[in-house]
Amino acid sequence: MSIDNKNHKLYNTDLGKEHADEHVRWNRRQFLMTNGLAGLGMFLSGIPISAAISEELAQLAMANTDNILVLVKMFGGNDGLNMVFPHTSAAGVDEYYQLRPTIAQKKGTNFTDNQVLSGFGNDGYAIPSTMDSIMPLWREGKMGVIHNVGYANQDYSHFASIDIWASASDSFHDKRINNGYIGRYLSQEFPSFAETPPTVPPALRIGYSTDLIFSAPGRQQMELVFNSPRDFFTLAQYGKLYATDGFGDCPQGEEREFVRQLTNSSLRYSQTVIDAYNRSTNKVNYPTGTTSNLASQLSIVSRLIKGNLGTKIYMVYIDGFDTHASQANSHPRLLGNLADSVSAFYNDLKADNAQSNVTLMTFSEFGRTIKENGTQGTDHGNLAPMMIFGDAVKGGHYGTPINLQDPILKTNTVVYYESQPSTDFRKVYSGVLQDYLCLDSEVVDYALGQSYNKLNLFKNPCGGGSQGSNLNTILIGHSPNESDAKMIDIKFSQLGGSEVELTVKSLNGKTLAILLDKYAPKGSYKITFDPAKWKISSGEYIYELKSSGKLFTRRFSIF
Amino acid sequence: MWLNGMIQEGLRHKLALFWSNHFVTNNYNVPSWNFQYYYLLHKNALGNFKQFVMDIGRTPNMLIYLDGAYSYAISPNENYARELMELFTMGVGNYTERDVEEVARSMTGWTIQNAYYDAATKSVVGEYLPKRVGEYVFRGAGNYGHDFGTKNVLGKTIPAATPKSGDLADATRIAHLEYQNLHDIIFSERKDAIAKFICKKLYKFYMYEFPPDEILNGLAQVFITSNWDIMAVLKTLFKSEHFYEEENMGLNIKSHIDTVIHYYRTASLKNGEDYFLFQIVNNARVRDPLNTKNLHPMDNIYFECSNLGQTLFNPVNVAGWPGYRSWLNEFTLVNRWRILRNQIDGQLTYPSTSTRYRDFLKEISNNSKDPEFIVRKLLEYFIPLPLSEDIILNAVDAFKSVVPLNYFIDGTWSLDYVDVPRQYTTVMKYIITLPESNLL
Repeated sequence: MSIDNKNHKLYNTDLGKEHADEHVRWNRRQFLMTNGLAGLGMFLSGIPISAAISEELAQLAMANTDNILVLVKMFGGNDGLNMVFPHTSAAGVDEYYQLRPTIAQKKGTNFTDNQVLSGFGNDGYAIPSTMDSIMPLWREGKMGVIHNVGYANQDYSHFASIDIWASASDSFHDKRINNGYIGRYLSQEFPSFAETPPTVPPALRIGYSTDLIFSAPGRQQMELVFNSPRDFFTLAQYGKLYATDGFGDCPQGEEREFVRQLTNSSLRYSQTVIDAYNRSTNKVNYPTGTTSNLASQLSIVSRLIKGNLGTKIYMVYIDGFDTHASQANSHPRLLGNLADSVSAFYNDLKADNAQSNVTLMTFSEFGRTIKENGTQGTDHGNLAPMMIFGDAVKGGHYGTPINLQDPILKTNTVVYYESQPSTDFRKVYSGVLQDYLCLDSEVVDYALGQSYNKLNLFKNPCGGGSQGSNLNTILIGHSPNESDAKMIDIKFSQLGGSEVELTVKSLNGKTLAILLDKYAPKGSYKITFDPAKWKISSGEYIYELKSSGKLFTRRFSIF
Repeated sequence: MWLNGMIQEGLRHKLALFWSNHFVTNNYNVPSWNFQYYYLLHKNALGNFKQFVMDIGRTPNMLIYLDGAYSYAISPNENYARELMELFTMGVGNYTERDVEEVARSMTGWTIQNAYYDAATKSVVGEYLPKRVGEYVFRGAGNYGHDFGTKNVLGKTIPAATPKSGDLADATRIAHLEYQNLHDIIFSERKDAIAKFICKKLYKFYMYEFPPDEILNGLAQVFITSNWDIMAVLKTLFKSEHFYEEENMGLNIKSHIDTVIHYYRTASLKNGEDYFLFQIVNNARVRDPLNTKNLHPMDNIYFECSNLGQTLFNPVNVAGWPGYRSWLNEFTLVNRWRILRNQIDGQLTYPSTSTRYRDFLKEISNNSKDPEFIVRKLLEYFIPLPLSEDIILNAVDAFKSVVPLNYFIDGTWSLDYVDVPRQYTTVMKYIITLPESNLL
């Protein structure tokens, strides 16, 4: 069945004509004169963007229990065999040395007993000593290694393969390749993202450009992208929101909606992000002077999590894994940088007791050839291990480690190890989406394009309750009322009849207003909420929509 | 130099930017190598595409970037071979892994020569070769040279050859022939795929992310029949009705460099008068003669665009900048506003620029005395799509805001009024924040 079609229809029919001109025309001339040249273009008429958030509310909001996922993209094709490698004869250390005479990680030189991944039944594998900083996480049972992850018919192209990982598709020619698995999942949680974007970005990427992972059907990007929160400080306190529809169902209209939507979200988000960032500090020192800036990316993510931004999915990146030549120095250094950054990140979260609901997962587009090449490097290969960290993770080994005694390795010059036992990467995704992000299996199947057996990676998997869409009620979102921007329209659709309760609560869960509590038959609903009528002042609040045993929660601001 | 070229001359330089994002390499800080690459981009920008591919494959920056310089007969490196087919010519799905291996073998032996800095003598030892376009460093036969064996590429055979033993000139001659032969095979065996792949990219660059099939097929046919003439394809596109249709306007999203260049070009700013590349004073680079802090000459624009992720000579990775909507996100948009605002403010320093702004407004409005009419013309000029009255009136207010209101009524004000240049920058700072100003 296709959940997408259902939502897509709603998207078109419910919101088409609702957005008239939402601008309030003030005395613009006076406004311009008093503000001079400096902020021109940022002020003009319209709705102020900044939300007043008190320290007290922010503290209460820290109790948020939503699970957060941090994705680490290791671009270039990580040489997994030199990250998690055999060190006993049974695991194939002799073959490992034969296949990689100049680049193998050797005991005493590249690692010691301290970096052996023991304690979970299988102790034939170790990591390089440059990664020693993550060993405490392993020993505490908060680190999982998933061996030999990949997909059938490896593409070997960096770009096709990274797109396959992002889109959870079978190949570059798969129709799913046009959008990402996180984007598809978020499109279910926010079915009308462009019209009624949530107050906080559902996903956030540290970097310079958008990523296919967050691309939803209809080419909507679900993530906020920036390199440093300071980049937003240039933005003024006030902005002007633009109407985002009425441009027709044609390419020109689509592009126009896109740039307008983006201008609006630039104005909205910038303030939210700065606020969260300023509410917290980094409590540990992150590694400096490294070639990648992974550490500084994670230090930002840490502050945003601790400042309770409310974003659930983050992505950071580390580049440089395309080690065709002389990898003996560069590759362990990169891995060390990864380990040190991840370790600092968790220590930092722990210092504010914010680590319990944060899981971090690494991925790379492919592993590398098992044999080293003629230039002390390795070429594009196939399977490689993934690593996953966090309190929620059930530490240990998953999947089947590489078998270096496979006779095929003795005869072929270039070995892509197709014949090895492998774990499909989508089984990992499936486990994360279902057991950790608590999505209904139907939403998981939709996000991944089909059903996969999930890997059981978590200590306490979710109990089947779902956030986001269910099959009866779809929360569309909220937006300022077009005639009075101080009022808020909350919109939802009923695909069938059910009892529906809509309440407004403070961030600590106290009910402030009950907007609806009745049987709602099939149809579309727009509930206008007037904070003045309920004597609710400026600040951050949540509203809850209860229907058919499911609960939708969304944060919003009153200006 | 390149940015300046884009402002003053347009097409060829802009296309060179396109090709630098197609044949991606890196900057290795060897001026003669960078120049060879830069020269090839400009020379071939409107020339023959097949020749372009052949030139690029043996240019030093490319030999290093995609490891051709380290590809030997006994251990061919597949990096360039793969990208030659995947990214530079035909796209994925048109070749096999075997083809990649065979092309890699066929490309072995073409290399560069590095110089290095000797700390003991404090001098550079050796020289960087090749020094200029058309010169090559070739390793000859042998384990670390060219593989002269038989290859099978895309179903065609490249026969084995035996150069005269110890004769480098003979080996070089044969390898040149093989290089030509290899490209003949690629361009004849996959001509449809190549033509479509390249025309699609060109269409996306000038028009829109999603080319209609019938237009694309037409362009591809022109490309093939003209024997890979890039100019022929562009002429066909630019002369087509499709290019000028109202509904095809404003579909393209500007890159960061486009945004900056667009601003300079529309007001006809001149190098050496309104902006300066840099000037040497007492052996130091000075940003401009007046040494004003806010001014953004070319080198500063280079760094600003680089901060947003678009560095000339250095696209994000071998596939190039993905372009289209990936240019824009909250971060880049907010920074675009900042960069352009600084630029607009900085420009007012020069008397020549003030005159140019005034002349520009006179030209587009036929020296009107009606501020609303002038602003409407200005918006039409900068924004490819019609705007709502609300936005237009905001812009008019911005334009009028620095002048006492009664001057517009009592006839004091005209485009010769002293504050007009500042009015222009004021309204421009509003216009560049409009969502539609990101469209082209």
